[in-house]
Amino acid sequence: METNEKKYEKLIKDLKNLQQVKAPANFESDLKRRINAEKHETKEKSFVGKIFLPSRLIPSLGLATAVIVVFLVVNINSEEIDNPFLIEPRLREDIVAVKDFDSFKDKEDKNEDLKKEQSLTRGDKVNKEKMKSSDKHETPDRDYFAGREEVSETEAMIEQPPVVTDEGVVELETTSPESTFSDLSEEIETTETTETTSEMATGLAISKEELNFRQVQLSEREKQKVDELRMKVQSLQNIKKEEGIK
Amino acid sequence: MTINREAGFRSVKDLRELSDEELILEFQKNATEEAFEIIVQRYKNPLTNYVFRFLGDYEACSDVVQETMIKVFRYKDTYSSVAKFSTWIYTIAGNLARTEYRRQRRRSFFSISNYGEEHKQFDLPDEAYRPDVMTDSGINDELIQNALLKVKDVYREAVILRDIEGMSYEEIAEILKVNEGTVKSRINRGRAQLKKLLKDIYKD
Repeated sequence: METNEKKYEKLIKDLKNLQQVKAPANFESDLKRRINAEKHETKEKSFVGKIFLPSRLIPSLGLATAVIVVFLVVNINSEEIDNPFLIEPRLREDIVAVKDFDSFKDKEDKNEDLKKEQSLTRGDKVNKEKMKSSDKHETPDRDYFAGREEVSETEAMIEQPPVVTDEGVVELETTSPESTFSDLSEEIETTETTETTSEMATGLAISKEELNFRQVQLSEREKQKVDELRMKVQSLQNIKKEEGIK
Repeated sequence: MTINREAGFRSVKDLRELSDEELILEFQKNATEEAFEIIVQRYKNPLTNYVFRFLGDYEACSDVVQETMIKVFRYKDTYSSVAKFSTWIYTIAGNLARTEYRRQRRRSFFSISNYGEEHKQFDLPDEAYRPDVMTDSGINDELIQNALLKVKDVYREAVILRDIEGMSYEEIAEILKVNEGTVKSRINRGRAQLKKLLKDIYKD
């Protein structure tokens, strides 16, 4: 170390002999003024002033804003918005013009009863079909009517196809089971073609193929007219048949 | 002027006889402003010299020393009698001087980089150097000061504290918060750089 100091002896000497830089003449007065100013500032700062200091106010405001944003985001996300693409479309069944509400209500009650019975008879039917399939090899020529004889009265009613008039009116014939069976031979073609209609609810239900039809509940007078027309058609058909036989 | 103290009254004359450590204790215990004033009188010039040699800017140096004194006034209670008072006050002044130096460098960098080429070196004119503080061998003083400012700052402060302020290695180590070996090495490197910069004066 001493050798080093000898090496820089002249430099060290010059550095030591450098003129001492003195503080300015007004150093102490300036210092007093600054200290007093600081004291005054610290006294003047009230509690509220300290709270609303920019150094404290800015971070607290930032924090508050962040909390509000997070709350809003969470709240918006929690809301269950129905996706319109996932909602099932409304069926035409809902759009039913009812003129005679009482008759409609009666029919609706009947329909409900029939549906219940249908569900019960369906269970039986399924069992029977199972039995049939098991016996198929034994009785392959067993025809449609053989199976149908066992069908209950209510099922016969359910399987009746709706009558479609020229006016686009769909109505179920609420005939008795006896008449259903008597007309069964005549209606067999229609029942075969409209097997899917057996799935429909009676009266008011519309199959998907028939969605273009307007469903209207008829008044008593209109029903009478329809019956009259039907009778006329039947009589005409009978006349034609007779003429054909002749 | 008399000052209230635990044991009675003490005059300013008595206070002047006290050491730095005793004065700061007096200021801590009894908030004797006269004790603080004596400390200011004792340290204003050495600190100004130290900070000026480090920064090379008289106005900035004066502000730094005033700030040092304000810190001593405000944080008097943080001083513990275990350390030497001169070490404590030089540490405060050194920290403030370093902060100011970095600020000046940033400022000069941005002001220079706005003009011309980015990598071009500029020699800033030292307007802060005052002719009234120059010695008879003023030319040498100016040369040495300019060379000192070109020495790396960590070496420069060690050289100033050792060769200009005349402090011991131990004190310097405490002020710079490094060990004595590092202090010695920094001083040597600083001297070497300085000699290289002043090769026209120290030819041999």
